[in-house]
Amino acid sequence: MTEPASPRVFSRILVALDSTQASRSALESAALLAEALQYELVGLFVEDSDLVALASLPFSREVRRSGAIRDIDPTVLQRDVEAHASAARHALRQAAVRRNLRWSFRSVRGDVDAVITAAAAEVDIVCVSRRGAGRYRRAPMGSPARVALDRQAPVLVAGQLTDRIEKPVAVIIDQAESGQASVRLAGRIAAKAKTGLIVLEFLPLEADIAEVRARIESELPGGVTARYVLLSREDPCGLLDGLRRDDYSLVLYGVRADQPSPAWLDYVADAGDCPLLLVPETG
Amino acid sequence: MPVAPLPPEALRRNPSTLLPKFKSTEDVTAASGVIGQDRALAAIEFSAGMHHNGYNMFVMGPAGVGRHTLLAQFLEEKSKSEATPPDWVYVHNFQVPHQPNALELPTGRGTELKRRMEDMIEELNSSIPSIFESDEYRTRRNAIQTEMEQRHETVFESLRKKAVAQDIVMMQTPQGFAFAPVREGEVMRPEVFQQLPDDERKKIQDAIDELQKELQTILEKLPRWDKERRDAMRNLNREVSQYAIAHALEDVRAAFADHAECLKFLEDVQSNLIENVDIFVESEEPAAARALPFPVPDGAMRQSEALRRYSVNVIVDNSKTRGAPVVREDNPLLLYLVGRVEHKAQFGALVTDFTLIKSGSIHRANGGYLIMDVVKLLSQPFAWETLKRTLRAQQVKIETPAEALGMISTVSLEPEPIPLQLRVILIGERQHYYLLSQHDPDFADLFKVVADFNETLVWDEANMQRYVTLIASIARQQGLKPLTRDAVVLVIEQSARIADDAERLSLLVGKITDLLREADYWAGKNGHAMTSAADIRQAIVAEENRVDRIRDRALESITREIMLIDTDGAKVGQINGLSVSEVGNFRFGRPTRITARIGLGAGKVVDIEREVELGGPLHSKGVLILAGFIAATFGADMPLSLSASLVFEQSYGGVDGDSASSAELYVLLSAIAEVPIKQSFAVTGSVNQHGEVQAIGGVNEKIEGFFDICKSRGLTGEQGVMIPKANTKHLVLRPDVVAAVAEKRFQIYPVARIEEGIELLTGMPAGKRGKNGEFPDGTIFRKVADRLREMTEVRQRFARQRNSGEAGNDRAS
Repeated sequence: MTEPASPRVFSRILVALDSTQASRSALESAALLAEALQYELVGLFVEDSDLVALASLPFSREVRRSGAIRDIDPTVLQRDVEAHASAARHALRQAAVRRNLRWSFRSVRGDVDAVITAAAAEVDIVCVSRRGAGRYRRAPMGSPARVALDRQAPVLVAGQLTDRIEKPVAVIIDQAESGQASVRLAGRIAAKAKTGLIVLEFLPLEADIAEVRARIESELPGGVTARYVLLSREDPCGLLDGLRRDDYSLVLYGVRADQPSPAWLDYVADAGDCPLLLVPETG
Repeated sequence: MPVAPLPPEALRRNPSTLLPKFKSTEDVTAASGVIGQDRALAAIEFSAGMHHNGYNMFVMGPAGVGRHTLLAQFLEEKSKSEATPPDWVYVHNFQVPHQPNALELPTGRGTELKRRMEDMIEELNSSIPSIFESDEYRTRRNAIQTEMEQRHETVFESLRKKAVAQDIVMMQTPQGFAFAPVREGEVMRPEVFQQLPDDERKKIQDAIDELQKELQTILEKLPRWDKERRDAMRNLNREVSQYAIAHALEDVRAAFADHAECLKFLEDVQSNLIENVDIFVESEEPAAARALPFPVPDGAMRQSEALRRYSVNVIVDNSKTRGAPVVREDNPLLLYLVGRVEHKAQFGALVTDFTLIKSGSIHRANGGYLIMDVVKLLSQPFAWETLKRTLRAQQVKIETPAEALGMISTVSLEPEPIPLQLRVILIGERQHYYLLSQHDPDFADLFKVVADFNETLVWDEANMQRYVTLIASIARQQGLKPLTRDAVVLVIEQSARIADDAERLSLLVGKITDLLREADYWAGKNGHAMTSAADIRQAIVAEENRVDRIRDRALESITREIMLIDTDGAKVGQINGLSVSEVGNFRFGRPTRITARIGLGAGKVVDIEREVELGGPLHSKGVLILAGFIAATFGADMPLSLSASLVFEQSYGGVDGDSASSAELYVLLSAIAEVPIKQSFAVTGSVNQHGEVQAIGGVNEKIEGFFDICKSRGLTGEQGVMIPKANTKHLVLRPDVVAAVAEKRFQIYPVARIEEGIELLTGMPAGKRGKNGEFPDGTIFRKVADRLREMTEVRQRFARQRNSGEAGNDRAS
């Protein structure tokens, strides 16, 4: 029996904020999880240094959403960025106060990836918006989600909002020998939120189900009992349908740095309704 | 021939001989109904039977006469045989939302439509979300969504690739997008850019210009694409929900298949539901809304508000009505009469819709009868005018005065008016009817029927029988003990007393009911199984005792000789008049000293009460009439050369009425003739210019008022009251007064002429002119005539002396 590894101990959830609606949605998901785990909510607003550089270029112009083309005035740009930072801080404060959470906020100028990489090292979970997560593989300038996972921080992908984590927490297990970290975290969340834990066994046919379950049981904290749902690995649509049909507060999945993300994960991230928590697996 | 005093049997009529045989009211068959109101009943029947406009009814008569009871009994019976009116509902007007439509539905089916519509919405609440959650729908919706995203992504990705190929990156700015050259994965710094050769810088700038134009073209397309997506989604929603909505409405349609207007409404509902089917799908709450510093409606609230337009507001539900409705509106506020549109506060604003329309009593009475008290109606602002307008228009329109006057600007509704078939019955007193007839030109057109209730009933054998039945019925209806025969006799006597007439019985059923209730109380206190005559008497006395404090004070002030009233002896120019005071519903009589003084003058009688403005016009009229009598009787052959003054002594309040004019004439004759008047008498009655004594009101109270004074000082047998002969038929005196008369200790004299009265008061004959034109010696009138002649002579002598004096003076000058 493997002794459970010690979890990260910062008790903080980082949410990267910008001016988009998706970012506000991420904030709500982060607050929801922070409330369940009684974590501190950390807001991070990154003033992109590339954007500052762009504004200083002699021909810098922007195409507005209305289609109009305007010169970029570095002063106006700076004022807009600061206004967005202020709005983000206000939203963070409101979300935290509403759920009675500890909170902190930072606005940092620099390279987005670098700033998040540094920040991810000091938190337990990084929360990003669904939109960012769905496109991270294709994004030319990198992605907060990828950066966070590289730093071994679980990433919460925002989902449809609920008021509390009341419905069961689900964890997807797709490899017989992996998933310890995600099961452990799922167990902790289920224990804190006093809700059920569902293990979605999305395993290859040759996997030894009994062994997998024994390993999962060993990772769970005392008092948490898992219910197992066996799904066919040959039919990813079954997994997607199950996620859509059954109501979960949160779905967890273990990501291994040494393996590419499965194709269906993008669909889960894109099409699923509930928040998705990606947990780096070490093994 | 001197006037004889009235015998005791003339002072209080005994009904015993006319009563049917019974020992107590237990033996009497009770009958429902009001007696003696045949005229009113005929009018009520007429109004209820007339189906033309304007035959509304005004029921008039004093309170307590049984107006409400008779109306209720009649209408209860009549309405049962009439058709029950239809139901009315208000529904949303999908074309003009602020003008809700009124739908007429068969009796009792308003609530059915409401229930069926609720069931329909309930069904859609479960069927529509399940359709939207179906795999088929999700697939098609995702296809639309994906197609749109792909379209976006394709153009953006293509643009991005094109930029990357030229070492340019597309970045998001707070306001939009921008392009920048990159070197080694970072945006080129300005100093690096400046070091580039001119042609390279120009090349980069040209490339960025090109990309910007391309992006501009893409962004211009986005709103159109978005609209296409929304249209596609709407079409999808419409397509998938159409069948479910039509199916849900099927039952309602079938149930109301024969109601064209209802079907039209259902048609509108269906079209509107299809267009707004997303109401049934819980949308994700925008996070931005949560962050707002003020409350906004949540999803459930928005859905509930949106679904209200499909509900049904049952304004008139006649499902439990049998026959025509009879509605009594006790508080005819305008809003309670014609209904109202209520508002509710929602996030700081007042909002309303057709479900907040509340019916008024006119709606509920439509097709039947509406009964109201006219005073209450007239005292409510705008209620009378609105009622008239409604009756004239034959339709009920909900409006508030504040809106009509433009006093508030809150968004409100204009509900469709409802056709009206209503008979309004107003209940009031006669003066209200006459005032309205006189001052409101619309009144006669709208209230063509008047039901006039009698206050009294003729005292005859047939009516006596009916009256006994009435007493027995009241006792049973009120759950009172039975009354003995003697008790019934006393109640009837008291009824005549209330009617102020020995030949009539009061129809003020309210007062009789009060008497029976109170007597029942005393019977209980006295341990009687039946209410006896003693209990009735105790109730009468107790009722008087509760309110007679003022009378006691007045009596006391006379017995303590603060108010000066003589009850024996004789005096010149002084007489006891009688007046009636009213405190609340309690009346009592009391004597007042009237005095007259005369002097030389020009034949004028001065009414001191009038001079100091304490006398009313009727009193002044009486004084002028008596002056006319004196002038006609004594001034035919000579000018009257007296000046007389009349006064009510120790009267500090107003005096009105002419019931003291005979007393004033007597005292004036006494003063002129210098013949004393017996102070053991009190006098009441008005007089005309021919010397006839005329009937007055309150005769019983006046007699009893003087009797009480005499009794407190000791009855001598000389004391009595002179009343007009015409008032004899009004006498229903207290038993103690009747007993005193029977024992010859007190007398009541009926007087028809002044001559009879003055003879009683002075003990001298009045006198009648002989053939020589003179009154006989030893008569009052002779003394008066002589005195007046003397005064005339004195005046003539005085005039001659003054004239001769003036002539002498002239000559001297």
